Amino acid sequence: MIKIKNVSKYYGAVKSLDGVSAEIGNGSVFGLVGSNGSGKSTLLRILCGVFRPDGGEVFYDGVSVYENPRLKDEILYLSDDQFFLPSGTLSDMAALFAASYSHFSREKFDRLVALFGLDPQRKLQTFSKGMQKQAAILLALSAEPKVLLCDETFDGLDPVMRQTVKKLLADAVAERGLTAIIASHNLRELEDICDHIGLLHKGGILFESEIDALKENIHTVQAVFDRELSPEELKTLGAVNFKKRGSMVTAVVRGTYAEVEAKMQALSPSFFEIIPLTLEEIFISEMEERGYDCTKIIL
Amino acid sequence: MTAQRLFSDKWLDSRLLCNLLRRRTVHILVAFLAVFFSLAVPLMLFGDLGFEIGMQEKIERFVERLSEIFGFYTVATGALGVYFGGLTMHYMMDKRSAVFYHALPQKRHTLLLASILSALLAKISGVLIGLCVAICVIAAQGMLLDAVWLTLGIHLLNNAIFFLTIYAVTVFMGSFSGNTTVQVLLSLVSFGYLPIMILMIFAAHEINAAHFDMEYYISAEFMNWTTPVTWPFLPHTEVFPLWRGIVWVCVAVLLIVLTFFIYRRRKIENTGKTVLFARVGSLIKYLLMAAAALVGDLFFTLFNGGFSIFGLACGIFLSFIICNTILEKTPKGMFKGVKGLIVFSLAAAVFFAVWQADIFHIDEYLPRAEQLSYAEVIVDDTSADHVRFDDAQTISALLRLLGAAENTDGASPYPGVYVKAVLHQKFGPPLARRYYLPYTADGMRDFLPAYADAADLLAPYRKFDERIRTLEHPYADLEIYFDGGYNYVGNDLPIADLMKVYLREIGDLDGTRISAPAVMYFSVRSVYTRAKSDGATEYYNMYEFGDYRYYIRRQLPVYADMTATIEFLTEYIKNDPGAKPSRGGTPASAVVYRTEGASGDYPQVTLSAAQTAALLPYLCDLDATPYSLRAFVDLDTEYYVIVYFSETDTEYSDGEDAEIFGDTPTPQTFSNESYTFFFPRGSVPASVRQLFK
Repeated sequence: MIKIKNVSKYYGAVKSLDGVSAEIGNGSVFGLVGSNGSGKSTLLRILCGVFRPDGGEVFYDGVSVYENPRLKDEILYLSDDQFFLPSGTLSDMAALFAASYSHFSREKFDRLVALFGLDPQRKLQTFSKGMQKQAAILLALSAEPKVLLCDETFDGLDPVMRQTVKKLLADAVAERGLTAIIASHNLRELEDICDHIGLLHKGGILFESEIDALKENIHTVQAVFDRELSPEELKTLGAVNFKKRGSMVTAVVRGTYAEVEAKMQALSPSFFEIIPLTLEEIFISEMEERGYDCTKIIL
Repeated sequence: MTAQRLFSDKWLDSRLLCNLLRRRTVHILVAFLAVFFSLAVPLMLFGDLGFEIGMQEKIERFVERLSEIFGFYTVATGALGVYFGGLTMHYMMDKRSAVFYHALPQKRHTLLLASILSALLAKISGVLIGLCVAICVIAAQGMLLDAVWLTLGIHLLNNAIFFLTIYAVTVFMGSFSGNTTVQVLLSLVSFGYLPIMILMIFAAHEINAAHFDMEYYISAEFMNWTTPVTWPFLPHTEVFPLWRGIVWVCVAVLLIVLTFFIYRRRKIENTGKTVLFARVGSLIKYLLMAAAALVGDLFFTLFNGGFSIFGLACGIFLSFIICNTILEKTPKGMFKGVKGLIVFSLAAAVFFAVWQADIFHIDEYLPRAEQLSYAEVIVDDTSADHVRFDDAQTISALLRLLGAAENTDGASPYPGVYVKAVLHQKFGPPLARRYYLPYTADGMRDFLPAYADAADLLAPYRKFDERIRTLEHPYADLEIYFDGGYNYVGNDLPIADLMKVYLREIGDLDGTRISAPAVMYFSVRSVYTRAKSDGATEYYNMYEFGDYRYYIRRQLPVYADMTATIEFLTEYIKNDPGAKPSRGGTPASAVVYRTEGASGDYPQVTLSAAQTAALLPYLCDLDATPYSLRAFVDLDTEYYVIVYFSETDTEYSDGEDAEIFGDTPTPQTFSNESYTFFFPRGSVPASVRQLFK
């Protein structure tokens, strides 16, 4: 269990994180979304023990991560801006990782090198941006960490490679209970892989939930009524969002499929249809319910 | 701490160290090339050591040249110190690498220790390879002998300490620097900051303080402690200054330890900033502002002759905006902390008033005798050591004498002497002062002989003689001041023989001896040794081969009773075809002056040629006494005489080029060569006194 407890971070006078709290269960894939400058990278760097929070603390199963090599041996931070040894090759980097991470698997490294089709003896500086990203990912996966912190990891990867990486992550979660925290500002990217999601905005977590629960508990309803709905009827529907165009009503309603269906049948519409929401739509409606204009938060 | 414990505590991670070391190949090469080009290559270019010289001389010359070559290697060592210091901290200077390394499962001290050790091991490896090459070169020259090993060992130890200190300073600067450029710049500044600041602070005071003796405070010994840079350049060939070496090593270790402490507080998120800690940034800013203030101040004083307070203000303001711009990394931040600027400016103004302008006349303050534990005095230019006075009575007399000193910079109309005094207070720092004391000052004529009795004025001559005795066949370049001019005698004088006669005859250079005017002096300009080739009968002047020469300039007085010395020297003057008295003519006239008052507009009487000739036996040519001892000669300073000599010379009718055109040279008589004479005390003839009545 990763416990982020009231973490604050300042860059001089600029506030980057302001009392962020969250709990992330072992073996989960946590999507951390937020706009540019919302504090995602800062939070990840605190989570991997690079930055020391100005306030609050981060605990992994009750143990603080800062200056804790034993704990850090099981955490790997995959930066959006990868560092490679000057004039270093993939093999050089592997040697450094092998010297640093006790779980580094040479066998897995060789397997992933073959899978990604990278030349381990070629200087990493001569790799394209996407190939460098692949190299960083395969090194991270070869280290077999228990916690993988990914910062904009899918940026720069082609669609095929993106799917491969997602699969590799999913395999690691399934096989050895990897906990992954993936920071991104692309909700669609996270939807496929994350089971939890949190929205970071202006240094604070606005919202955090399990994706399945989110999806199960909110639906869009399209219905046609042959009469005007009274305010009392609308209230019983409990619509988060309600739009009417002629006789067609579109509403976002909180509740499971069965609950929403029951509510709709009670209103006796001429026709109705229940549609699941995309993650982006869920976020927009959730944020709007909290009084935020989500289009300004998520790019 | 045992190695095992080190490993178990994870202070040292061997796997990380090996990995870092594996990637230091390029840096090993850099260290090797530095040694190769600064030591091995100059050794290869040694050339011939000189022919027709014996093995002993060869070894001596080789050792001497080896020491000279180490000058290059020392510079290379300093550069390597900065280079490897930068390299050690490089991993934390770039944002990407800083984040990467600090995300690794290592404690910070483990990372830093591995980086330090890998850098040092890389440097040592490169140097060892380079040294092996250098030793091979020495062996090829057949000079791999004990004396050479010893010299090599001492120099290498020196350089190791020098490297360690420079490296530690650079690493320490890296602990709070945000990038390598700033780290290197701060290191370079720090090497010279302290000695330069001390010099400037003292120079600022000396501008307006007539008595302040800056030299005492900035002795070479003291300045060597203020910077590691001078350490390897000190002469360490004979005895290794172990204590000072230990201190520098301790300083280096302390700086490394401090680096570890500071590193623990280093915020990785600040990487890329000029200075990571705001307070350290401010401290550096104000330290640089202080230096710039003094530079501005001294610049205006020395080159503009005034407006030093304006220079001070300019220095402060310009450095303030420049430092702010660099620290903030934008010109927009140039006025950040104006309050600090105002406070600092006020402090600088107080410094200017109290220290530099000396508005409270600190420079004129003389403590009472009972406030002093002892006093040390040296009469300027005597080359003697300080004479210590402990008893209260002498100290009181000295303080009275110093109180009568003139606030002049040698522009006094009265002849006198500079006296340096160090007044060691019971409480407070020693006051080092320099006074100009006219001979007419009350108690002066009692003080000087007493000083000469107490001081060992002959010590420099004895030291000189000892040095000469270490040489195998010493000869000297010689100048003799005799008969009113310099009689140059060539480089063939057996100086050891002369010194034997001289030291026997001079006895003790005490107050009685020294108060009499000397009749001549000889000046040794440089001493060289001569070598005899194996099997040859003739000695060779090694100077002809271009070296092995000690440059010494020493003036030795000769008194009238030193007949054997005078005979020795006059014999050599006779043998030198170029030697002739510069004053060849007869006295034509003289002007006698009597000093009165401070105006310098003295009453004077002109004498005829006959009167001048009659007066000459009474006069003393002060120039015959070496400059350093003139202060002690007991002269009557009431009268002095300028004598004009008529001289015959040959002049061409049509200027300098006449000879080319075949003009006939014409002898001409001149009477404009003048020399100043004095009367020894009590020898002024009544006729001279009569002239002014």
